[in-house]
Amino acid sequence: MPGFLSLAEAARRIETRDLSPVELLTDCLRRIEAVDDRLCSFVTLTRERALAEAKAAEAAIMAGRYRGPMHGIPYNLKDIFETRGIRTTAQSKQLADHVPERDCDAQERLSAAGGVLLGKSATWEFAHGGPSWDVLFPPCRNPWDLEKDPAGSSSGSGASVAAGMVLATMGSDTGGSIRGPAAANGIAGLKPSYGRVSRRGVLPNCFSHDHAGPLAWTVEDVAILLGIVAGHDPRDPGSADRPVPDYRAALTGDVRGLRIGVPWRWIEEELPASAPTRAALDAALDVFRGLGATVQPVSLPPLQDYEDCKKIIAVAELFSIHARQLRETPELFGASLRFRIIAGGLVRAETYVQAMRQRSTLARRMQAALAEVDVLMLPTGEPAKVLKPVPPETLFTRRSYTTAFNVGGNPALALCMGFDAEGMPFSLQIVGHLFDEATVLRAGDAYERATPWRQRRPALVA
Amino acid sequence: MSEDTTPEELTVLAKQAGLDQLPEAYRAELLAAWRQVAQMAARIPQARPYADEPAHIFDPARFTGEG
Repeated sequence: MPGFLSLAEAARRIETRDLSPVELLTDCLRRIEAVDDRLCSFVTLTRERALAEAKAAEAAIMAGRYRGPMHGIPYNLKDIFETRGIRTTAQSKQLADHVPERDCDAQERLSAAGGVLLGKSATWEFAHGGPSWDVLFPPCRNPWDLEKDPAGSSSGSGASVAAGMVLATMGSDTGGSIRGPAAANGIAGLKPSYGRVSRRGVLPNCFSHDHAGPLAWTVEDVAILLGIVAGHDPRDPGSADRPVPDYRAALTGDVRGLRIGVPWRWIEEELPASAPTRAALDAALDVFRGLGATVQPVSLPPLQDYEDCKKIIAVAELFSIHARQLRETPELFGASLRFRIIAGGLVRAETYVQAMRQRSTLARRMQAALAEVDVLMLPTGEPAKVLKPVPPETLFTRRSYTTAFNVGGNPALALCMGFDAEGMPFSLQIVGHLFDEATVLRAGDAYERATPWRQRRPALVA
Repeated sequence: MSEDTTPEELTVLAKQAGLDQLPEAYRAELLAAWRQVAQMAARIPQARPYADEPAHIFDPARFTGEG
């Protein structure tokens, strides 16, 4: 068995024919069979299809037709990414029998790159309501501790990568749903710039803030995936027609002269980080200083302003998406999602437009603050806590370090920043200028090279 | 409307939203959720310059493909 491999390591071995895609897939299936009945990271497993794709990849590679680093790599997709002929449920009873006729853009690109689709991963209902015990599937758990929360909404994506069941996955992020699970599961996850990755075929949460993006074990893996899924899609009206650089080539390990801004007022006053998280952040900043970067404070508008703006827009758009089902079959929603969207029908048009005008203001202030530095750094959140139902109003009242960057549309990367006393991961968030994912990834990769955190895997699947 | 919305006021709002046929249990959810949303809505700044554009300006070139 090949053991735990990053995507990049597996790709190197597959390219040199030191590792068979079938052997790699078999190892992933072995882990799934061993623990996923307890982890619940997959909602649909496409074993036979994956075996066929792995065998086809192996044959192609042996015949000299190697396609690149995704060729023969097992991956899954969050179950809001539509897949032709494969049930796509959004974890909702509303879509229990939904079998799409077309693939989403991401699946088209990953399949064309030679990837092996192993199934669909658990999500919060429609990527918004959770964790829930009254929806189509049980909630996913955290492979570092099955009693802990893997965060959402891309829960299964984060957990399955950390557990070595797949080497790559795609999630979506409307307020932190890639970065939260990446953080809780101790892996890397990138919310790209708004428009960088097509959302075509991804069931919507909130059109104005939805981002699709990759999660994987390392930042290098995320760079590989972004290079595959990024690019203009004229069939997504939010897609940006911008050149896609070679993200992997940007991973030089060199961050000398990098200017890092830290929004201390958020971290110390508005949403105070716990002492262990603050210590982990300080240690990470010291690592960057040691690598030749500089650190300075930056001032951003209050977190609450971003939260209010995002949530008013989101609740109105969510209602418009689910209005018919709320009127006709409200009992088929989980209580968490229903509570979070039902009042959107009462938001007045004036309020929605004013929130959109406020977004313009907040986004400009975000870009102005970033003009002074190359990247922002801050925690992604706190280490995972026990998985349990949360009061439904929590979504409206809680603040996060992630939502502001959905409002701004900036690229934001979460990566492992060490472990707490209970063995749960800390996570560092690195935020960049619009469409400058390359600098964000370069900084994250340099940090991973300088720290030992990628050497530890969950004991559950050892 | 504010976070002090009464059940009677909610009846009017729910009808406008096409939610007047909701089962009673869900009407309680709607009221509780609306009180949360109303607090956020009240914090969105209202006074703006006339030409302060929202963040979703229509770009016709993005809607030329199949419908």
